Amino acid sequence: MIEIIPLVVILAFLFETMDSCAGMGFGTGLTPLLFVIGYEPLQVVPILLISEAITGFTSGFFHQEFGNINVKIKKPINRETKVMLNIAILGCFAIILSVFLTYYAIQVEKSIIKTYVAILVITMGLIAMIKLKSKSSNYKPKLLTFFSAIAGFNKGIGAGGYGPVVMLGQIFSGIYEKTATAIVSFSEGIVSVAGVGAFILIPIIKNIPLEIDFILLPSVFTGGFLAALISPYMVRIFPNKIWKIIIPIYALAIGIYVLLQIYVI
Amino acid sequence: MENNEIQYDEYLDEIGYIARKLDTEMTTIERMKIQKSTLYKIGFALIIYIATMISFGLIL
Repeated sequence: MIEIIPLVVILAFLFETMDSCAGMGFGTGLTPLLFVIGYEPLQVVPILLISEAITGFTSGFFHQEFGNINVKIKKPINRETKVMLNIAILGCFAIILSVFLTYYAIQVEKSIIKTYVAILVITMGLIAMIKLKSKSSNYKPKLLTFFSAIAGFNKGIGAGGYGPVVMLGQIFSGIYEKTATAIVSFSEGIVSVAGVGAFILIPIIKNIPLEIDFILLPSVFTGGFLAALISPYMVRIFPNKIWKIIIPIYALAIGIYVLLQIYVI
Repeated sequence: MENNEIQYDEYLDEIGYIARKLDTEMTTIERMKIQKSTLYKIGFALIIYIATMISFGLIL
């Protein structure tokens, strides 16, 4: 018999809605809250990855359906597909490294690297707010690769903040906000599949038991899946100028939330 | 000939991208319209959700 936990469903729904609308916050926001409620890392991290793998593709599919993005697999591959693949490939390497570090219990001083990520996200959020009134800029692929690499590095060392850096990095690189959100959803789906694969394969290679507790999966999946259906439609109907304001404000809030977690809570 | 076609497709993509940007000029009511085929896909997604939950019930 599966157990549905209403509080977890509501939290997953809210954070996935924001993640699919603003391209960030599902992992960074929901993970510490579930820890506070009393769940263990191995009950939370792989479950969020499994859920994000499904909801990322679902959300991406409906972003495509509602015209927020136009992913094309056949040649010539368009700009949005190239950006999505660029972000996803770097993210896949990063998440495999991150799972590897977790399983091999390599100690990295979390508070210092999380402070660095929080300050980076807050700074990027502030710059995005300052640039609100400027006209849309031209596409800058090198800048985008630079931000994707930074986001991948952060995820690789387990510091989180992948979504905000990739999302704001895209906006700084001249990607249209609605399209950037859809690109993050698609690439998060691909990256999460790699993460789930690493979570399963690394223990097999190391010959240790696979420790995944599935108790949260039905609840997180329910909240996340419903949000993944609704959010692309919300991105479609609200004008882009609204997302231009919401995205940096939400990034600022996430940065401050991470700092509060380290130094106050 | 093939190069011309690729160039043509690239221009089409660029036009599509700009058109999407211009979408913001449409009214909210116009953007709220959902095609019938999209509704079917949402229905299909909900069926997949129910099937997945039943699978969880059987497996977990």
